[in-house]
Amino acid sequence: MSFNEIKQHSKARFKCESNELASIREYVRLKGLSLGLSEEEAFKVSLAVDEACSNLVKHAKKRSLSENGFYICLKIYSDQNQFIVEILDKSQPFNPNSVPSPDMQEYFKQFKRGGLGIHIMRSLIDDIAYFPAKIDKDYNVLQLKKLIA
Amino acid sequence: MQDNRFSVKAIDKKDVSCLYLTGYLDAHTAPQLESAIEQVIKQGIYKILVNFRDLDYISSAGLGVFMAFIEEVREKGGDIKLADMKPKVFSVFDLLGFPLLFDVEKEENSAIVKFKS
Repeated sequence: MSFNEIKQHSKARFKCESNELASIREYVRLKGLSLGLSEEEAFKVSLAVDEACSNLVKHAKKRSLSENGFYICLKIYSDQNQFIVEILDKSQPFNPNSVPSPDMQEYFKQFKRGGLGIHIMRSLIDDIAYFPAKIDKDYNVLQLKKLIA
Repeated sequence: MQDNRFSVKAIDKKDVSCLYLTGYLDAHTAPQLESAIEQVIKQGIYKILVNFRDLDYISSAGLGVFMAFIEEVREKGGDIKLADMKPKVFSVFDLLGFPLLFDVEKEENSAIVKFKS
C-alpha cells in the first residue's frame, strides 16, 4: 500500500513554543492509543515527537523563513500495520537523517551535552523520512513511522 | 519561567542535597532543574541526590541537565546520584546508556549510603 492510500485521521496546529510540548505529547499519545498502539508504543512515539518538536522550538526562530512560520502542524495517519506522525514546519530545512548517531562511550567520556534528541528518535521509531520545503511547497515534513505490533 | 507541570524541591540531608522532582521534565521545564542544581552548587554542596519518585516524564532535555553538571561535581569530589525512577522514566535513561555514567539506585536510602562508601 502506498502512503497516499493510508488514511489521515486528524491534524492539529501548535505554537512552536516549549510550553506546547506537553500538549503535543498528549495529543500524539491519545491518538496512538485510539488507533491501536499499546501504551508503551504510544509513549515511544510521543517522546520521539517531543524530541523533534523540541529541536524545532530551539532552532526555528533562527531558521524561520517567515513571521508566520512559528507553528508546528501535526498530521496523524494510520492503517492496521502502522501509525504515522507527520510534523510540518516552515523553518529552514534540517534533515535529522543527516546527523550521525553519537558514540555514547565517547559522549560520556567527554561529558558532552545535547544532541541526543535525534538519537532518541531513531531508537524509538521504525522509519524516519524527511521532505524539505521546495518551490511549490513552503513547508518541511518530518515523517515518523511506528509499526503496530 | 515557572511551570506548574514541573517542580523541584530541595531538602538537605546532612551533607547530601536531595532534589525531589515532580511532573514533566522536558525542554520547557529543564531550565528549572538547571537553576535548582546551580543553587545547590553555589552553596558548595557537591553531593546531590535526585529523587524521581514523582516524575512522570523525561526527554533528552532533562538528561542534558545532568550532563551539564556531572563533570564539575565529580571534579569537586561529589556526585549526582539518581534514585526511585518509575520504569518509564528509567527506560529513557537506559535507552542511551546513562546508567554507565550515573549511579541509578532503586531507593533514595541506598543512594545516600553510596555517598558514604
